[in-house]
Amino acid sequence: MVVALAAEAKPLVEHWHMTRDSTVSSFPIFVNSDGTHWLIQCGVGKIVAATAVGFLAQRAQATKNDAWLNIGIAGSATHSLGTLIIGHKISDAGGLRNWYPSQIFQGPGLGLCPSTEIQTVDRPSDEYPKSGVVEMEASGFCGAAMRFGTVELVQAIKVVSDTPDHPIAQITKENVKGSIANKMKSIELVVNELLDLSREATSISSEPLFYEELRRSIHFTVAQSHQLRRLLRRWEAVMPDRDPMGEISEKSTPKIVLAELKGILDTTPIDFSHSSKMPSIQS
Amino acid sequence: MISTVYIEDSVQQHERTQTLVKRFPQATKISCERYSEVFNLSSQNFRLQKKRPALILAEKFKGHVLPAPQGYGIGSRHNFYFSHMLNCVYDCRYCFLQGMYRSAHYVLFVNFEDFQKAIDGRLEEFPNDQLYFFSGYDCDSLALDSVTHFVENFIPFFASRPRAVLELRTKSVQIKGLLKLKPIENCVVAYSLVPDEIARSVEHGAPRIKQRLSAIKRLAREGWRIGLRFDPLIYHSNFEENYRELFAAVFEAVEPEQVHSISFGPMRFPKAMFDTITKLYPREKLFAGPMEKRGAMVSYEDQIEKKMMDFCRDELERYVPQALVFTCMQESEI
Repeated sequence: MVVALAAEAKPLVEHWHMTRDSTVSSFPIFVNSDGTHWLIQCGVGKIVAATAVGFLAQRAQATKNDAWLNIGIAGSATHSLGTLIIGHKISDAGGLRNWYPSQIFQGPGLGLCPSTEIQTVDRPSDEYPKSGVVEMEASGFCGAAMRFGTVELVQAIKVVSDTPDHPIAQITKENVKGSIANKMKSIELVVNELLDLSREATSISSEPLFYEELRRSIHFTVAQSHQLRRLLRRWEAVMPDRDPMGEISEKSTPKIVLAELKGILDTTPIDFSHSSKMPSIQS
Repeated sequence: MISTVYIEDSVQQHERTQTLVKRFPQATKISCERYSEVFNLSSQNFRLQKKRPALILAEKFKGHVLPAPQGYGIGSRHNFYFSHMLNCVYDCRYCFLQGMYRSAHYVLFVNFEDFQKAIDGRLEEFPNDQLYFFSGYDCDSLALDSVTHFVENFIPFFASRPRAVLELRTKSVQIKGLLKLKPIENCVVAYSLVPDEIARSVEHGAPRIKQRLSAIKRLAREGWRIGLRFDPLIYHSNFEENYRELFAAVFEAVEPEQVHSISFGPMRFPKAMFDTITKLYPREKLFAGPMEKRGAMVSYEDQIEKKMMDFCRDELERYVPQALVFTCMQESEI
């Protein structure tokens, strides 16, 4: 999670029981006890938001399959005060690029909150766009997070903190904290959806069963390890109930293991009759 | 089904766009400058995006009609393809589109008229020859026809150009558009078919083989010319029995004289595409068979490929004359 202000961070830190990472001083960073949720407080502006993404990616050793969420406050002339929105298009008032966070878990019947355009500006303004919301971090956040992660796992959500009737000058730390805290249930749903997708993406590339076990007992070169991984994945697809370890001769060398696995796989007919059935779209 | 529609600024006012967006009143409409802002970005994940693909309405500026890849033809010297859409509503595990694009969104080019101009251009290029135009290369020709009205726009166009033959390649039973029109001689409705056991396992979301055969029967009865595409051939434990049963079921649904052409070819991928697809689906049974790298391609072992090809050719020639049967392979390999 990337937030600009301490007042935005506080309710999130409390909700996920995160504690301050005392080993870093460049940005306040918070993490929960099992290391699944990280939060960085970047300060105001798109440049620091982008920098913070890079910093947190390094600190948390983020992978391509980790999810990124920008949470903050925004102004709007069309959404009422306290509304939570999710960005479907992020445009930068000072640049030429737009970003389009994926709408995988949005849409009719699924809408966790309304989606709209987020316009990122360089300084606070009381001029509101005709539609959507305006704020100061999302474009920097998206530009950086979509480099480190997968587009489908990068989102920005904003709580409307000011409108033409409730101008920016009236924003206080307390009402920022309150706005975020009031929407915690919806924020948590978004976080959980992202985590589900992240887990799914991670499971796709997870190592096959017995891969690490075999590598611990026999020394495979890098190239042989790749072959072993491919063979064990084939094994999982064709014979998920058969233990490959039982097929390997004692005192095997890497070459013999690979040959034995390949030999069995190449002579095992592929049977599609027991595969999972998917529904038909009927179009 | 479609919950998000991206619309390129240049086609916001296009008549086809206006009609299309009315089909999805509940969908979120998002404007974009070019479809490439949303489609096929390097950090997209095809498999995650396939869970809920969006529709992108866009304009195609160039390359409307391109020469078909070598080995794609069904007897003509001049073969072209055109793609009014990129990507498919179905999720067939052998489909090259998974490896071709990083994005699973459906891109629909609404400027059909420019495709038609380009087809006329190709006809002018070869004024004395018959030309084949394949429409189902980057998408299923019919699957989204109720939305795109592709058939309604292109069949009358081809009707007045008898030298141009249109192939609609499909697995869809969405044939209402065709049934509303008078059949034309220069259109082949070509159905992709695999044994039912395979279809249920790897053609996710596609109509069942039984349903496809009903659609074929209906179209043939109305006078449409039918193409049968057993491509890719998939090797599995009962492949002889299953393909024999499939061919028997097909020729129960359609008379041999209603068949325009049959083509078949083994499952093959360029190496880079195979690597991409197997990364997306590392535990897929389809890719767990005895496959090998040969040149720049990944395919079944040579003897398996030959065995399948010989078997299918012999079986098919029991039903139709040899002249109707084509193999989908690079010319040098045939």
